[in-house]
Amino acid sequence: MRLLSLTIRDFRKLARSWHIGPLEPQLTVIGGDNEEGKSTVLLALKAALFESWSVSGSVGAAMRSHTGGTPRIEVAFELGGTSYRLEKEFGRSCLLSWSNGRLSGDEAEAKLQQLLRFERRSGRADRQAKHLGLFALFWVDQGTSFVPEMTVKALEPQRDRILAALRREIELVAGGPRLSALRAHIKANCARFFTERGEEKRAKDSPLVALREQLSALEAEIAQLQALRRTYDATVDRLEDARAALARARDPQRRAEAEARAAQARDELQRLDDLERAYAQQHLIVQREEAELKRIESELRARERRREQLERAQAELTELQRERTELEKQLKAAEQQCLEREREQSRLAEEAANAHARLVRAQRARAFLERRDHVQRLRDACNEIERTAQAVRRIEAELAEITVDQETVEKLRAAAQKVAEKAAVLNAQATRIEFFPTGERGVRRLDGSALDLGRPLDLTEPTELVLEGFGRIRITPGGDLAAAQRAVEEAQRRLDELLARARVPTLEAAEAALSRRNARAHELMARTEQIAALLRSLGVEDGSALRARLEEEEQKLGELQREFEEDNDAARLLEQEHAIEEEVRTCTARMEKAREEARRAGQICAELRQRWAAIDGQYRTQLRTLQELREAELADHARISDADLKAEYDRTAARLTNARAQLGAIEAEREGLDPQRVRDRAHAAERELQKLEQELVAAQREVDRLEGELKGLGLEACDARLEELERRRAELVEQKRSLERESKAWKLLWETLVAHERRITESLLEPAERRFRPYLEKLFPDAELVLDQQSLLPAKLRREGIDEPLSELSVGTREQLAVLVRLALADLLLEHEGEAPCLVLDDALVFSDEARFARIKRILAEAANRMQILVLTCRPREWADLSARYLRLEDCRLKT
Amino acid sequence: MGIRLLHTSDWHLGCPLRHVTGDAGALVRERRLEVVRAIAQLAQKREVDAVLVAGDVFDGQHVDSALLLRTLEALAAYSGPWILLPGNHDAALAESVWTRLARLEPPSNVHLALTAEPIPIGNERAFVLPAPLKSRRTQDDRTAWMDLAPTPPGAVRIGLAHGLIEGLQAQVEEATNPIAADRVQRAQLDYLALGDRHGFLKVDARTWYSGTPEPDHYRYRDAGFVLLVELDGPGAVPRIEPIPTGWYHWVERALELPPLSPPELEARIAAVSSELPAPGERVILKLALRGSVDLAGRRAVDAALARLAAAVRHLALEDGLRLQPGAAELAGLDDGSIVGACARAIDERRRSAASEDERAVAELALRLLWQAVAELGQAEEPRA
Repeated sequence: MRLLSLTIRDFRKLARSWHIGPLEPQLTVIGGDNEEGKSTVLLALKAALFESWSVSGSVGAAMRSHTGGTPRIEVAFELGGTSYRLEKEFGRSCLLSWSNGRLSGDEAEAKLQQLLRFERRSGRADRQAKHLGLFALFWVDQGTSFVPEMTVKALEPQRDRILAALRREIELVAGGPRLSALRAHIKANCARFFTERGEEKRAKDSPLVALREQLSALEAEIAQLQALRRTYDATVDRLEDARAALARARDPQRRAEAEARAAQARDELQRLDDLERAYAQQHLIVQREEAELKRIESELRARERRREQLERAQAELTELQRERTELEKQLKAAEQQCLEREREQSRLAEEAANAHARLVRAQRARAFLERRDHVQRLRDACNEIERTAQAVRRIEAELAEITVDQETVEKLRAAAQKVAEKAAVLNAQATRIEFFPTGERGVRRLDGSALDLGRPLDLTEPTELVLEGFGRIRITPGGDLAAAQRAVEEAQRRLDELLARARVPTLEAAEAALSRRNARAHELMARTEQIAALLRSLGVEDGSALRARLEEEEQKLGELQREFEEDNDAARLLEQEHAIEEEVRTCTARMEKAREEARRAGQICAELRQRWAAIDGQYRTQLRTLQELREAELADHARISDADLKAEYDRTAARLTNARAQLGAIEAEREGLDPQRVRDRAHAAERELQKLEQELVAAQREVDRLEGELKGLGLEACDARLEELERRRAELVEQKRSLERESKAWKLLWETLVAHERRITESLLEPAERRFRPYLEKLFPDAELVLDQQSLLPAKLRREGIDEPLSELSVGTREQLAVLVRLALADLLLEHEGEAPCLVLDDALVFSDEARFARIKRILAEAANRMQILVLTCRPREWADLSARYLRLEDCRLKT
Repeated sequence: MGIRLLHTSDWHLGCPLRHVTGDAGALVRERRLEVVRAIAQLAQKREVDAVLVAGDVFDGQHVDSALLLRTLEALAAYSGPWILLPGNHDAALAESVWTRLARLEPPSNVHLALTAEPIPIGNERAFVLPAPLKSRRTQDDRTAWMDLAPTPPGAVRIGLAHGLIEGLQAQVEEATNPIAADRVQRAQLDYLALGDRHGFLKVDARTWYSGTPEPDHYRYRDAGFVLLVELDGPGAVPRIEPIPTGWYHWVERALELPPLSPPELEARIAAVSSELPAPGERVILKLALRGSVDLAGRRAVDAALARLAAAVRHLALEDGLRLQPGAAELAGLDDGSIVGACARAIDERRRSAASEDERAVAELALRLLWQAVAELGQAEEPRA
């Protein structure tokens, strides 16, 4: 496309009429000051070509200038070798004319849309790149060229056109629309089975999924029917078995044989039972005879034993009688002896009591004398305590007189120390004078007191000294001695007060008084301890208790005093005490001996009595036994005589022998039958019959149950349905196999196609790069451009092996690259469409440095040989060195 | 006065014939019942003394009850005795298709030979000695009882059994349902009517397999007959007349297709149709294709097969044809666009396929591509 001229009237800032042209087919620079209307020229161009003549509302209002006139724009341009003239008066008319054609109104707009290949903006929609066709990319508004996103947006609607150009260039798509149709066809078929991501569809709109679900449902039903059929067949088999079992159970021959065996077994069992009953009865008879025989034998033996017992009992009774008589004699003698011993014991007890009474009196005399001594000791102690108490009181009086205590002395010592310290301070400040007289010169004080010349003299106050042979000398010590002196005096005054309060003249006197006080205190403590020790020894707490004890003891002593009027009587008794004690012991021993003898005699007497009683008891018992035996013998003889009993025994023995013989015969017959075998046979026969019956019932029950079960299963038509389902399944399996294969085939086709397309897209980069490279080498000789595979736009600049993303480049560099992109794409279109679009740069490259600016100007000038370039700039002088047509905007205003 | 019988077997009523799909399957299945009607009419026409059905009357125990009723209805065309023997498919189990049929109370001329006991026919001039199978498979010879089966003197003894004559199929190691080869002699039978084989077969002068009256598989060559048996009296050699009853012809063909032009290929396949032994509507055709064709040939084959399928009752195809696109065909796809590259890539994949499935997928993909390109080309032509 080539713009020829542009006439604008009353459009926004450009009031009245402006004519911009003629425009060069190469480079045209339109200069103008800021705010003069350069950008409005570009806006007017866009409005004329891309806005409908009938636009109204805010869009239409925005076009109006301050004069209020109707905006009108005329554009003359060439496209595809044809010159067009567009006259558009917004809101009123539109006319498009060319060499052999002319259209107006909407027809003109439609023609325009067809020529420029853009999408008409509708209503108040925001203007987008697609609304400007190719020119969104090549007409760069002020300040937008360096924004990569803007470039991408502008390129987006034209990508197909650019790509188509590239594809044609590499001649890979000769098919053109046919390939698109084929691609769509394959994709549509592939989409029947697969998602966009190439995964198999799970939704039911996939024929394969629907088929699989149908097949799955079918197989489930088939499995169910097959299971039912297997159950049915198995049940039929069981019914067969059950009926066979029923037939076996009903077999009459088998039953007859079993019943015959049972009858025979029952007969044998009956005979066995009879024999066993007879055996039992005979056994009872034998047992009874045996018992009777035993009883008679027993009675015969009992009679014999009784006779022996009678004889023994008679002999024992005689012996017992003799023993009893002998014991009676011994008992009488023992009782006499016992009486004598008791008398002797009584006499000796009386003697012992008398001796003991005398001993008691002697002991009381001893107590009297001991108590008398004790009272005397208590009296001595009372006196001692009294004396000691008096000494204590004296010491306490002395202590009360001594006013100095340890604390007082400590205070005095501290005060004296203070005085010494203060004096030391005074002396330290004193003026020391040492004398080294020559000869026997003396020195003395003015007051006349002599001085020891061998010792230094410390002066703390003005002092006059008389130096013999010299005269007087007055020495006044320097410094503040008065304060030290006052301190000494104050300390001394404090000491004196304390001494006065302690009523002692000096510290030494105070210390002596303290020493005395301590000595008296120790003494007091000793005396007090002495009294306490005495009281403790007597077992009393204090003096008053001691006195009470003394009074008590004196009273007791008084009572004893009356018993022993004469002390001599008591002494005498005391002297006899040991003899009396000896007499008591002797009497007591004799008495104990007599008592022991009496006890032994009594014991012998008791033993004899006991023995007699026992013998007497035995005697009586034996006598009674004898009587009982005799009575029993008489009774038995009265019942049956011994001879009769013996005869009875013989008869019973004969009967027993006979019964045992009969029992043996029965036993032999029974053993001959083999009872266990007979019983087992009978039991087996009965069991067989029972089993037959049970078998019959169970088999009948099983048959009934299985028949019912089969009816319940209701399998009729199962085969037909199953066969139908299996037929259907076979069809579906075939369909599924076919569909799966088809889906795989479509997928294979699609994946192969996409893979090839991807490779082609990748190969498109090469021609794009080839277009960029010459421009880039001119502007960035050492740089390499990395293109984005999708957008085909520069993504990175590689310099010295380092990739720099476009977004990180400077604004100026980005702006320069953007211009180069447009030039490269315009070259591409020029080559493949035979015509390049017109490139319009509105105040572009303002961020470029001088060197780059100079280079890019040369690039533009060179490119202008192939395409029309319009530069709108506020700095036209910077473009003056190019062989371009220059237009000043202010010169374009028409006079009328 | 002799005895005249119709000997048939292996009706397999209710047989699913799963390999015959669609409407053709329904028609073929229906034909099995129609042949029973035809047999009844034949029996009536030939005035036979009885129709002996030597087992496998039904294909299974669980056939539809409606089929049982329809069977009885089909038998009605012959009023003489029908002696139906249980075979291995319809063994006389405790509960079976026979107990179900019995519960439907069939007409008195329909004898269900469920037990081994003589059945008089022809006013007791002859006795049929049936050997019903009581289980699906048995190693016992169920015909053994015939040796001692009592029949009146002068009566014709006819054995009726289902199984394999011993020694007839040596390759079967342990044949089930065996029948002694000399059963006729041992049991003094005048005729032994057998079932189990689907093609008719003469074992000896008195022992015959009737085969199925309606073929049901490609492999049975002599199927589709019933035997008319005429016995002049006890000891007389029977006269056997096989009477065709079959309707459908089960035909197997194999075609090895060499590289030919599409018209030639179509002609080869069309020739199959013209060489059929019966009108197409009575043919169940199984066609095995081998060889390799190019893309155009494949299209021609597909078209010819579609015509053949329409010409016969049922076409079972074993398509073993390999696709071998011609260099010119691949070049035709290569129009300079990526289509040619895609076609070459897929063809390469077809040739190097590791599995049959992979090869088939690649072949199909190539065919689809070729077809799509061709269709798109045709669509573009009018515009051009």
